[in-house]
Amino acid sequence: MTTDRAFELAIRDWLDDGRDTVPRAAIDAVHLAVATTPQERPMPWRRSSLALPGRRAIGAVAAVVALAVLAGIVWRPSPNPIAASPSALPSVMTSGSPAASSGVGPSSPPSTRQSAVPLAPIGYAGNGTIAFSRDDPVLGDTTTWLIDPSGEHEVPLVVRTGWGGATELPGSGCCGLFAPDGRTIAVAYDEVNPSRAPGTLRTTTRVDLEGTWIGWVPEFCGACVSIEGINYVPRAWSPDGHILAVEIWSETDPDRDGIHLAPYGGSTLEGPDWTTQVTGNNRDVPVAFSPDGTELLFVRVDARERRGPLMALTIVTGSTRTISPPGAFTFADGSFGPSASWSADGSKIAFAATDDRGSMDHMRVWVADRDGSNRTALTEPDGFVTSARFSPDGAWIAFDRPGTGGRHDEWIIKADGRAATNLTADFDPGVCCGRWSPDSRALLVAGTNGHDDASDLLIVPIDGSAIRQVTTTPGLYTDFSWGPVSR
Amino acid sequence: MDRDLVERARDGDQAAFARIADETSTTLFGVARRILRDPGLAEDALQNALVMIWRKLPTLREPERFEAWAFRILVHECYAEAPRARQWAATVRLLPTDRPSDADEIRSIGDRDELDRAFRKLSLDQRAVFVLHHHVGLSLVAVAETLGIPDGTARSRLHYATRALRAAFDAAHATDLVEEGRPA
Repeated sequence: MTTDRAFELAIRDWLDDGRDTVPRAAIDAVHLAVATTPQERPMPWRRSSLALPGRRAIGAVAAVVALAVLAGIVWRPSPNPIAASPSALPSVMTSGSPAASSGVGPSSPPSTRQSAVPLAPIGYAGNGTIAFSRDDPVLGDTTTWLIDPSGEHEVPLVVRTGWGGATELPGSGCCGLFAPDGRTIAVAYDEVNPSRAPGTLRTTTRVDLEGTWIGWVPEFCGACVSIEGINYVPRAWSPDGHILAVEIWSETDPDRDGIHLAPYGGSTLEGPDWTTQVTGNNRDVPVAFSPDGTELLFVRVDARERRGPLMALTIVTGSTRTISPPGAFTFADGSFGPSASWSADGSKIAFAATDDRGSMDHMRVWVADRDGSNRTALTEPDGFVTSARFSPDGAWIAFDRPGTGGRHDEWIIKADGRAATNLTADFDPGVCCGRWSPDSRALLVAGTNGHDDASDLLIVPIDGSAIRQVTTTPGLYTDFSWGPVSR
Repeated sequence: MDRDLVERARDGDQAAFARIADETSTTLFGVARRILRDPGLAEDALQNALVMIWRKLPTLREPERFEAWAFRILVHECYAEAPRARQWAATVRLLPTDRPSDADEIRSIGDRDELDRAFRKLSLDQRAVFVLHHHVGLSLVAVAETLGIPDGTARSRLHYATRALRAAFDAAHATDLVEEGRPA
C-alpha cells in the first residue's frame, strides 16, 4: 500500500505535464468561424401573449402587491380562467416526449435528448401528480416539471402572477415540494426578484398545480435590506400544511444561515414576521416534520458539502439533538432526496448514514426511536445507501443499495428488519432514490442504463407487478416527488 | 474574466470575444486535454466550445459567472468528442530502454502510465469532476455548480474516480515491490 502523500504527488505530477499550448491555427480558425456565425439571441422564455417583459413585469406586479399590502389589503390573485385548463395554455413548453399531449408548439428549443431505448413500458395506472426537476444540459437551468403517473401531460411549472395569471415569471425553478393536500407546490425560483433588495438570490414561490402564483417566502418584503443576498429553498411542509420549513443561507453572513419556518394560516407561529429563524449560523437542511408537527428532522451540513449529522429540532423549545451515530453522516442532496423519514405514528425514525468514519462505502439503513435511542442497523454496510423512507402507511421502509455490477436496486424492508425485498432484482437498469406514492403502493425512482445524467423516472409497484416508465427525456432528475392530487 | 469584456462580447462585439478566446483558450484546452487524454480531440472540443460560447453568450444572464459557464460548455463538447477516441485510442506502455535512467524517473513515468490507463477507464462524468477539482482547483461545490449537478453527485464521481486511480497506483507499486524482492 502506498502513502496518501505519494499518491497525491503522483497525481500532481501526472496532471501538471505542462503541455497546454494551443496551436495558433486552432484559435485563428475559431476567429474565422465567429466572424461568420450569428449569435443566438435569447428566445422569450415561457412567453405569454399577455406577459409584460421580464423583470419589469415582476416589478410592476410587486409594486401593486406592495401597495396593496401596505394599504392593509389581503391580496390574492383572482381565479385564472386561462390556467384552468393546461391544454389551453398558449405557451406551455412541451417536452420531446411522445406522452406530452398538449398539442401546442414549444416556445423554447426542444430538448435534444430523447430516449433511444425505453427502459420500461409507459402507462402506470394510478392517481396523483409527479413533480421533478430536470437540468438543461448546456445552460444549466433547472426547471420544475409536472407529469401524470401515466406519463402524460408533461409540462413545465410556469409561475404566473398578476390578475388572471397574466404574467409569466422568467427564470428557472427547482426543488418542487407538494403541500400535504397536494394542491399547492413550493418551488425555489432562481431569479432575482426586483421587489426585494439587489443580491437576493433564490426565492421560494408557492403556486398551485397550474402555476398560478399564491405567495412568496417571505410573504412580503417590508424591509428589503434584511433579506439581501439570502437564498430560500423549500424543504419540508408541516403535516397540516400550515408551516413550510425553508433552508436559508446568506452569501455574506453565516449568522443568517439556518432553518426558517414560514407560517401559513392557522399556525401559532403566524405573526408580524414572515419567517421565524429556528436555527442559525449553520447550514441546516430541513428533512421532514414529525406526524404531529412538533419536531423537524434536519441535516446539519458542512458549508462546502451536502452531508452531515442527522438531527431533530423541537419546534416549540428550539432544542436540538443528534439522531445519527457519532461521526456518521447523512446526505442532504437533491439527487438522492431526503435521507430520513418518520414512521406514520411518529414513534420511529429511519435514516441512511455512513459509518463513524464518514465512509461512503459503508452506509447502512438505520431505525431509531424518536429520541434517537435504540438505534438499530437494518442493513449491512454498502456503498452510497443514501436514503431510508417510511411508506406513508408506515408498513415499509424503502432504500436503494448496490446490486450486480454496482448498479443500484430498490429495496423495501420492515422496520424490524424482516421481509427485505429487492423490487428490481429482475430489472436491468440501475435505479435509485425511491419516493413513495401517496397510497404506499409504488415507488417513484430514477433509472438509467448509463450514467445518472441520462436517467428517466420510473414507477416500481411494490406488489411485483410491471415497472412502468414515466418520463422519456433522459436527463438528471432531482427533487422528484408524487403528490396526491391529479390535475 | 473582465465583466466588461464579457458584456461587450455578449452584445456581439467580435473583437471583445477574440480577446476572451485568447485569454481562456490555454485553460480550456488544458481541461479538455486532461478529460479526453488526446490533444487532437481536445483541440476540436476547444474550437467547438469557443464557437458555442460565442453563439450562446447572449443567453448568459450573469457575466460574472462566465468562467463556470464556459467550463460547462467545454465539458459538454468533450462529451461530444469522446466517442471518436474509442476507435483509435492507443494504449501507451512503458518499454525498457537501453539508456541509463534514474530509477525515480522511470517510476514516475510508470506511475503516469498506470494513472493514464486507469483514468481512460473512468466515465467522462468522473473524469470531468476529477479534472475540474484537481487540475483547475475548484471546490466540489463549485464543480457541482459548474457542471449543473448536485453536490452529492459530484462527490460520488470524485470518490469513484479517486478510488480507481488509487487502486491502479497501489497495484503498480505493489508490482514494483515484489519485483524488488520485498513484501508487497
